[in-house]
Amino acid sequence: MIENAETLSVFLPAASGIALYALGKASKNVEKYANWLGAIAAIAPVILVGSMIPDVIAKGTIRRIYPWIPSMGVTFGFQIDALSVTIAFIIALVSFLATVYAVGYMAHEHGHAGFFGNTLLFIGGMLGVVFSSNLLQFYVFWELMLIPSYFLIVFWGTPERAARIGFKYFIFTHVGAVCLLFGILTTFVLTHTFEIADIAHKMEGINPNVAIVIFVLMLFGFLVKMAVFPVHTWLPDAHAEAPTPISAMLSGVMVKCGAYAITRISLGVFLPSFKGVSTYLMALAVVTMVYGGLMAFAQTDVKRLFAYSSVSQMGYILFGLTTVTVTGLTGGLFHILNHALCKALLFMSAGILMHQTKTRDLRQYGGLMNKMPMTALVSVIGALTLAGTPPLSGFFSESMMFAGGIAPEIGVLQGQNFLTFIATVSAVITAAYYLWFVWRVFFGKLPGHLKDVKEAPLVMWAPPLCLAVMAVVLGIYPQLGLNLISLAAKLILGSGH
Amino acid sequence: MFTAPLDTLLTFSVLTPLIYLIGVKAGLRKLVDCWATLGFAFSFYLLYLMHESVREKKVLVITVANGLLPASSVFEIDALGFFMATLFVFIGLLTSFYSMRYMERDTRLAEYYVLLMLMVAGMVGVVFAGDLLTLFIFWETMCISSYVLVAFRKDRWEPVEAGLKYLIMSASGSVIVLFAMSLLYGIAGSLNFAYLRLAITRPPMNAWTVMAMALMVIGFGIKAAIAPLHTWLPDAHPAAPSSISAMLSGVVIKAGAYALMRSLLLFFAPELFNWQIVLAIIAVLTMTVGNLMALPQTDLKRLLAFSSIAQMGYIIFGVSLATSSGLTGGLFHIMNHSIIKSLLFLCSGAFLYAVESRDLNQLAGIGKKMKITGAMFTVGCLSIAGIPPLNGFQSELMVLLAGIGVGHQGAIWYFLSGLMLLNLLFSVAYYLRLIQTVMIREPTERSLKAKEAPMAMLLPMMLLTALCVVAGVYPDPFISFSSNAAKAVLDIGQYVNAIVK
Repeated sequence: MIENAETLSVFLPAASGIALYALGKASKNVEKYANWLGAIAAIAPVILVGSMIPDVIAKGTIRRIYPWIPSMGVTFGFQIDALSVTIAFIIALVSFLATVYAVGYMAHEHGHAGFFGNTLLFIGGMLGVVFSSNLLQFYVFWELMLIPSYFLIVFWGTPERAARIGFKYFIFTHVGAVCLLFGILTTFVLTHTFEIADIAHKMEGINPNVAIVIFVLMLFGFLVKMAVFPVHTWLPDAHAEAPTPISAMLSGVMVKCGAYAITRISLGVFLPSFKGVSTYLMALAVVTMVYGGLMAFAQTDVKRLFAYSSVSQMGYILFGLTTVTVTGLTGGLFHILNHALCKALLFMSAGILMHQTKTRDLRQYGGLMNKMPMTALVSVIGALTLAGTPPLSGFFSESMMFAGGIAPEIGVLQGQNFLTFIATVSAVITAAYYLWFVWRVFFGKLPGHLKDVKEAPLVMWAPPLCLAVMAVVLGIYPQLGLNLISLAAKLILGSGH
Repeated sequence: MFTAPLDTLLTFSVLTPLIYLIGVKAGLRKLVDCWATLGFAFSFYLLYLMHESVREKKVLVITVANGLLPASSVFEIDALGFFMATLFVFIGLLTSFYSMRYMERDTRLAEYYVLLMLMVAGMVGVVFAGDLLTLFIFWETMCISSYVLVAFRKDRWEPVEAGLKYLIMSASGSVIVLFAMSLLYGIAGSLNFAYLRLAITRPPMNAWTVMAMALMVIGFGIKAAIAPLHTWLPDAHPAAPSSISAMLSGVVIKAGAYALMRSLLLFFAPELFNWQIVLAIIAVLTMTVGNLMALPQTDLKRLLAFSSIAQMGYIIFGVSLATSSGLTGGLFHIMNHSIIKSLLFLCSGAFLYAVESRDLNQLAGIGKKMKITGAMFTVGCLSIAGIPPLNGFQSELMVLLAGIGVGHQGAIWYFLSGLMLLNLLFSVAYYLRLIQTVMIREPTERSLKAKEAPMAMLLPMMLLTALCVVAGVYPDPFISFSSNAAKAVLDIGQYVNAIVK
């Protein structure tokens, strides 16, 4: 592992983001090359986090703690284990590819230094969330993720609606965060520690009713971020109206931070409380899946389609988490990986479609397979993966999640098999809208107004191609992803007992 | 005569008209501004020199003109007094520097600086005072200067009306305090703080002491703008020149908070009088009124004024806990709020200086033309909204933590902390709206004419912004400063024994 990789992976993007913004204001040259500078800066976290993977496989969990606010007993720590390094790697990778994509997509937009500066800060914030070893630091980075993404939406989003939607996004996520804060503070008062690793022991002496209240408060915060029904309403607007590379990052990796948080904290620390409500959560997950899927069907705007699909897919991931079995959790975490890759890919191709055809309306598309072969190829791969088609990786993650749903390990939870059945039916809905998307856009007759459409520039189709290749590779050889992920699942469920 | 920093401020203030005259004769327009800033800087330096002796001796006792205790006027300076004085003089210094450019279009600058320095001198005297008469004299110095400063631009109706309203309410408050003082004198036979403490806590509490406590809370509370005594503030703070608004919101109401803190903790011991829950309820009421009333405002400075009321609610909530952690949180929030609210008012002053408007609809998009001020304004709003890793978050966190921490004494504390959390949430809505209006909306015709603020106005704001970030990311030194002050005010024995041998 590179020396201090974890500290650098969080602070290097954040610092370079601020530097890029400041220098971009000061110098015209920096402003001109800000896009490439940003893309190059975004590669550092990929390398740094990648270097941590062999160490985690060999040594297991690594913790680095530094002092921060001694008078409050708060430290600044990094928890590097199978779970955090997996999620961190996918965050770094997808963000890097989205930043490269943005070089092409944002070519004609204003304020490059600000855009790429905020993006880098955003990356730093997300990595900070994933590597945090104590709850206060976690909360700081949780909110810190919010600010650059808010600015990215309001300054570079769809002009007429950006301000209102950014406001809604901020308020929704902040409400969740404040509930989370209350839960964190109450936990501190009861256990006298913020350290995630220590809280589980100390919670043993606490009244289970109090534990449930704290658990629900914190879970609410995570669910808002994950856009689970009924607190999902911010997501379709925010993801659809954000600039496309940012939509790719928001849908692709930011909402996964909510899933990470549920895994790490709700499952890892509050396992007994979680088990008590897992059936209700599973029901919520199923409702989200079905609702998201049905709404996706009704959309005519390509980005809104993918946004509602994200809502539905987060339902899948939540389903996997709520099975509280190793299989189900592995499936859920693997689906985080797959969805990150494929949803980012799909948003990028939506961006290409918008960029090349100048329209977002699905009804205007048709027969674009011949005009945009690369885009068609990557979109089909992305769509099929998320629809759960073998031998692509989505099939494995979905089957593991559903297997977890009917596994007998969890005991006598009523209605679980029924819920798993509904989930499987919802997979049909997912397949339907994805296939319909592919059909509508790429096959059929090419309409007159699209006769002159050309393929996007290399810098815009190369990143989704990389993502598509990864999805195929993971499908053929899922063990690549699964070694770390199954370690992570065992770590979380094992530590709760 | 008094302590060195206080003497400096008074001397400089008295000599200001002379300097102004010299400046006019010699043709040096900014002489009086530089004089005032120099005075504040020198006073700050002298305060800095004092910190060693305050830390060593814990409590400094200075009798005025070698008088005899307990009859004479005495200054008793502990870590809390020092903490507050540092804050007052620091913000005064920045305001004075800012006024160099901001007030250049006004006349009667000699009066302005005299009053500014007297106001700060009054505040420093209040926090250094060791007996009620001294406190009252300096309190009135502060109040009267502030009445005139609010009504400074007397050719318009708004400052005059606001100033008059403020005068009537605040003077009533002073009279109520005076009456409470007389009751306490009747009970204790002395106005000296230490002797008062010994006298009031010895016999069991009776109707007179409770009435004195209630009157003191009301009297000081008017100044601290607790609900329902806050109604002067939303008129006074917008009407004053922005540099004075920064002082009023930033430090003058904190003097009221100090007086509440000192009197409640020292004279009316929480163990005997059990005022905690009542004060906490008042605090929550204050926060709620402030936040709810801020939501519909369209005048930038009026919105910031209501925000100050809400923030005083958070501070008083911290004080009402009467524990070390609660007080540390409250004091830390006093410091942070002074920094942030001064920054916000100075920025609004910069906007006023550029386009002569406080109306948010007219100011839309001005951050796009005044980029540096806009960026600093955004940092200030994010900080006061409690977004990490800025300083507002740290202190609000501490107060919340302390509030939940006393939950074992009674479930009502959980409920009240939850209400504070809800209030924090509401407030984000209007702070975010401010950021959106100033930075994101399309510039109006008026905002298009704006030019960036001059350097003399930018520098104090930059310093305050830097402090917001530093105190957020590395709060430890600031927390220790607040924590020492909190421990000092709770350490009654030390305070009393310094006088009563």
